Parts: sequence; structure tokens; C-alpha cells
Amino acid sequence: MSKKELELRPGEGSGAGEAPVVQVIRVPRMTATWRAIHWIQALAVVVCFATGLYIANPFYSPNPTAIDANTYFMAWNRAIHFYGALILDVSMFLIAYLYVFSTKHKDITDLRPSPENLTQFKEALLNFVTFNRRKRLDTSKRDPFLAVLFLLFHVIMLTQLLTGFQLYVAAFSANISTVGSWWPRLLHFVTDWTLTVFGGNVGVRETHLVTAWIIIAWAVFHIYYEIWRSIMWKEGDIVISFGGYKYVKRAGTKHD
Amino acid sequence: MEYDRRSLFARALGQTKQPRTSEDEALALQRACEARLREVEAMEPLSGLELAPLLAEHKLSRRAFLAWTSAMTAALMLPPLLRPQVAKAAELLNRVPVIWIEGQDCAGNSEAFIRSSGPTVEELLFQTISLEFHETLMAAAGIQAEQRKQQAAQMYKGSYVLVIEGGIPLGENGGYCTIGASGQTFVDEVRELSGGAALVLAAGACAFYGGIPASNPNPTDAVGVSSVVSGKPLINIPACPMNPVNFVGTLIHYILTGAAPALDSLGRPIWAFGNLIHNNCERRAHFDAGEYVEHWGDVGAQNNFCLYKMGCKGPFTYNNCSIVRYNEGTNWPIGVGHGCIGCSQPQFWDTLAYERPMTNASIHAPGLAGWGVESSADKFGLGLLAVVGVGIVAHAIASAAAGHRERQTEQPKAEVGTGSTEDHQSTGGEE
Repeated sequence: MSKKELELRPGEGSGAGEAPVVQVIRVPRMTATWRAIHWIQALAVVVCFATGLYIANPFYSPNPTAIDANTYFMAWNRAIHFYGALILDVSMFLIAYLYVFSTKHKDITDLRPSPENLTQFKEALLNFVTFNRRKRLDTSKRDPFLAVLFLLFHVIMLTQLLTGFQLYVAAFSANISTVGSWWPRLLHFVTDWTLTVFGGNVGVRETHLVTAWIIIAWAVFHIYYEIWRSIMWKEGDIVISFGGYKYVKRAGTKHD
Repeated sequence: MEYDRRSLFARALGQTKQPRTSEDEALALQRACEARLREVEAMEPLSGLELAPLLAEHKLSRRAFLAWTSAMTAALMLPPLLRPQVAKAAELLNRVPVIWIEGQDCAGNSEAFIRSSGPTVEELLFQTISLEFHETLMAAAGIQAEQRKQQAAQMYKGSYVLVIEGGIPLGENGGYCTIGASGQTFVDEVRELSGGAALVLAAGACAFYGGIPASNPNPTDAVGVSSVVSGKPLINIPACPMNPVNFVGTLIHYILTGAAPALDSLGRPIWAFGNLIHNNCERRAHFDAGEYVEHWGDVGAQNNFCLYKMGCKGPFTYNNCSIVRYNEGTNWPIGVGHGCIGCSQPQFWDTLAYERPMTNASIHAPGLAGWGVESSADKFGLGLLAVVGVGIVAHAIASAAAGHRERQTEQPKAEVGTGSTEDHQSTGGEE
């Protein structure tokens, strides 16, 4: 049997009466923009987590006998944490925008609980929990299980964003900021309710710390799921985030 | 939350035309305060004590009083222009009838005034106010004391300032704290006296939200004043003990403007509780430099390094101790080498008062099925990661075993690709 790699175009189908072959179909999954956002976010999460651990409990110190006011370990950690968080937040908004308004990238209808989506979701979930023994989903199509997983991720990230900004604005003196008083005022307006929901600034801080670990646990699961899919499905899912495509084997027809 | 002067003194400024510039604003505020001071001056001095002779008697110079006046003007976030009015308000404090009652507490807030190294201006001002009732300080006892309280409450109905010190137990119908010979419960006393008060001040952490008596497991169901008193202007002046500067300042503000100062979401005056201790801490540079005290008495402690790793809660706590300090600016907890325990924050004893950073603390707090509010986020996180890790390993082994079985039985699943090829164009789903 011969193998052929091709990219599907609309309207392309199998011709009648031709000899069956196994085709490897290139299925586009992530645009370059989407991949860039993915890796920027992955990097920002790692950076924010590492610096966040230090901010919560500074675990390394300069040599205390050599007093040097120029070390600024905490200041650097906090600055990098804030930059990382802002990059995460802005890219989150960008993703939300593209998800809803762009047809080129991802489609908000992935999350619509339509019969087709629900069936795919159920089958994807069953495929995972039966260790790939039940495989009735079309793996070349969208994976609503992963879409729901990412929805969950964005809810977690939103919690982190809101609690993080509340902690950030708590340190502003008298609504003074270098970019103007609108900034702390906006942050107070958007995030002050978290004080009531999570139990004062202690609760908000605790939520922020716990959510950080939930994000890391989520990321670990995400990486595992991608590796698992790649091994079990043999469709190169792991390379989607690098090349943008996955490669699905199909019983097709001979073209040449 | 607004912090600018116009909003801090909105009520005082409200009586005048809207000022255009900050200079106009200061002048308008001064005029408003002067009008109010004239009203207060016309009232009868109640305590029979005047500030000037008291200051002279205790050898506190005019210069010392002026220094205090400047400091208080600045602390209240007033323009410097208003120093004479602040001095005048201090002199007129003897016009205000004050009833001070105590519940579940250690009298620490009263002691903060009277146990200073020498008579401070605050302490002398505390003498000049017309203190109609104060269990710890008054000479009368028993039935006579209670009669005095009732007389004062009748005589100054609608005009007295009620100061409440201590938590209010609600358990057993308030029976955990009864006052005086009649055995009236403290919660009833608070309700009765707050009815006739012009202003209610909750002095200290216990009156703020219940304080130490309300800490886990809160056996007496202690609460703060705000849970009992409603429909009256209530000002919380927390901390353990509250800073006399903040108490006197609030009274001065009341004399000056006739109103409660602008308050934050927890009912604390913004002029005193508008900033984190951390922001104005003298050790802040060491925090940013990453220089921390690691153990009591180590090199870092000898060099006044930041106390964050010893559990300092300055970054969590709103108060002005890092600016005004205690005992006439002599010193304050962080100044003497111990971290802040967050005593002006709600539930501080359960959630903040430990000598470790929050992620290292595993003290159990109320609720959450014994998990504890600060039962170490890191422990939770590592536990979560362990669970995810174990789940992943189990799933991976099961998947490998399932694949192995599949190959042995030689029954490849061929259910892939049921859709038509046109569908493969879909860019949906996630990576």
C-alpha cells in the first residue's frame, strides 16, 4: 500500500472505482498566530509560577553578610511576575476576541452543546477513560473534550486574573498610579467584589496561590493528554502546537 | 474608593460652593471648619478641664503642642492651612460628652492612652474630653456607676459619642458578658446606648469584628459592633491596641466637620487606614532587595532586614503605624524587630498572626472543614500535583495494557473516520 500526504481542500473526495490506499491527511489545527499565543502563554505561566513562588515565600537570598542594596531580588521577581501576568491577561483577551470574532482561527461554535458536539465530547471522553479501546470519534475533527478542558482553563485563568489584579491594586496608595488614577479605579471597580466572595484580602491571596497550583496541575494534565493522544492515536497530535497540523491516516483512493 | 481631599471632606465642603482649584478647596474647607468650630465653641465646656493649663501643668511646651498639631493635620490629610483649626478643635474637645463602655476585652485600648511613657498630648486630650462613663477609669462603682451611665445617657441624649471597646458575645443570649450590679448583658447595653448616640466609635480589634474572643473556635459567638449597631454613624478604629492618634484624630475630625470621616469598605477612616503598612515601612527597601531575616537574631535581624519571612503581614494590613508609630512616634512593632501581625484586619488572630509567610503556615481557621484558610497553599498544590501525577501514571499504565491486549487479540478497531472527507477541513477543536 502506498502512502500519500496531502492537505484536504473543500469538495475533495474519493473517486469511485479507484484502488484503496492509506492516505495521510494533513489536518490544519492551529494557525501561526494561535501557536504563537500558545507558547507565549505557556512561557508566561511558567515564569509567573516561578516568580510567584518566590513572592509568596522568598526561597533564596543574597549572601546576608554581604549587604548589597543593588540586588533587588524581590523587586525583579515582582516586576517579572507582573509583566508575565499582563502578557497572559492581554493574550487571554486576544484569544477571547479571536474565538468569538475570527473565522480563521478557532470557532466559538465548538462550545455549542449541539448533538454533534455532545456526541463527539462523549466519545472523546469515553475514548480517554477506556484507554483508547472505544474509538468512535472522528479524530480528524475538533475534539470538544479538549475544547471544554480549555474553557475550564480560561475560567481558572480568569479567577487568577481577577484575584491577581485585586492583590496588585491593594498596594496602590491613594489611587495614585504612574499612568493615572483611572487605572487603580478601574481595577477597584472590576475586582473589589472578589474581597467579598473570597473572604477579604487574605482569602483573595489564598485563592490566588491555590489557583496557581491548579493551573500547573491543569498544564501537567494537558501535556499528558497531548502525549497520550499522540501515542494512542498515532496522528502526531503533539506536533500541532509546533507545525499547526496533525496527520490523520485515512483509507482513501489512489489518485496517481 | 476615593482618597482625594474633595471626597475625604465631601460633607464639610458640601455646605459651600464647589471649589475650582485645590487652593480654593483648602480655603473652602477652612471656612466650613471655622463655621463648625464656632458652633462647638458656643456649647458649654463639660469636663471643666481646659487644654492649655493642662499642657502647662505637665510641662508640655507650646512648641510641643504645635508639633503635635502639625502632625495631626498631616495625619488627617488636611491642608497645612488648617493647623489653627486643628489646634482649636483640640481645645474644644472638652465640649464632647463621651460614654465609653467595655465588653469582652483586655482594656488594652484604654491602656494605650494612659500607660504611655509620659503624658502625651493624646493622653491630656483624653483627660479634657468629657468622659461621662468609663468603667476602668471612673471612681464610682456598682450601682452608683450604673446610675451615672444612665444619667449621662439621658442628659446628652442624641449628642454623646459612644465608644465601644471589646467584643460583643451573642451566645447564650449574650450571657457570656454581663455588666454591673444589674447583670445587664453587654449586647443589650450596646443596643440601648447606641440608640441615643450621635456617633459610635468601635475602639480596637475586638470591637471591630470580635477580635481575640471571636477567634477560632469563638466559644461565645463574639461579634463586632457593626453586627449589632445599625442606623448610626459607626467608625471602626481597629488595631490591637488602636493607636491613640487614630482615636483622637477621629474625634478632632468630628469636632472640625461635625461628621464621620470618609470610611473604607470595612468602616475604617481612610485617613488612617488608607494605606498598606508595607508601603511606608522603613524596612521596605530590604523587602525589594530580597534581604530577609531568616531566624531571630541572625545577621539579617542585626541589620534590620525585612521581616516578611518571619511572617510580617505588613503587605496585607491597612494602618498608619509605619507613619505615626506608637507612643508619640517612639517606635512600633516592626521598628523593634517583630513583624506585623495584621491586627487592624478582620480575623487577624486566625488568618494573619503567625510568624511565617502565609504559604508556610498551617494554622487551622474556622470553616472549610478544618482545612484552614492558610493551611499552606503549597501543600495543597503539591497534593494536587501528586493526585494528578498518580492519575496520569495509572492511566498511562492502563492505556499501555489495553494496547497490549488489543495487539494480542489482533482485533484492530476500525471505527475511525466515519465522517466524509469534506468534514476534515474543519479547523475546530483545540490543539
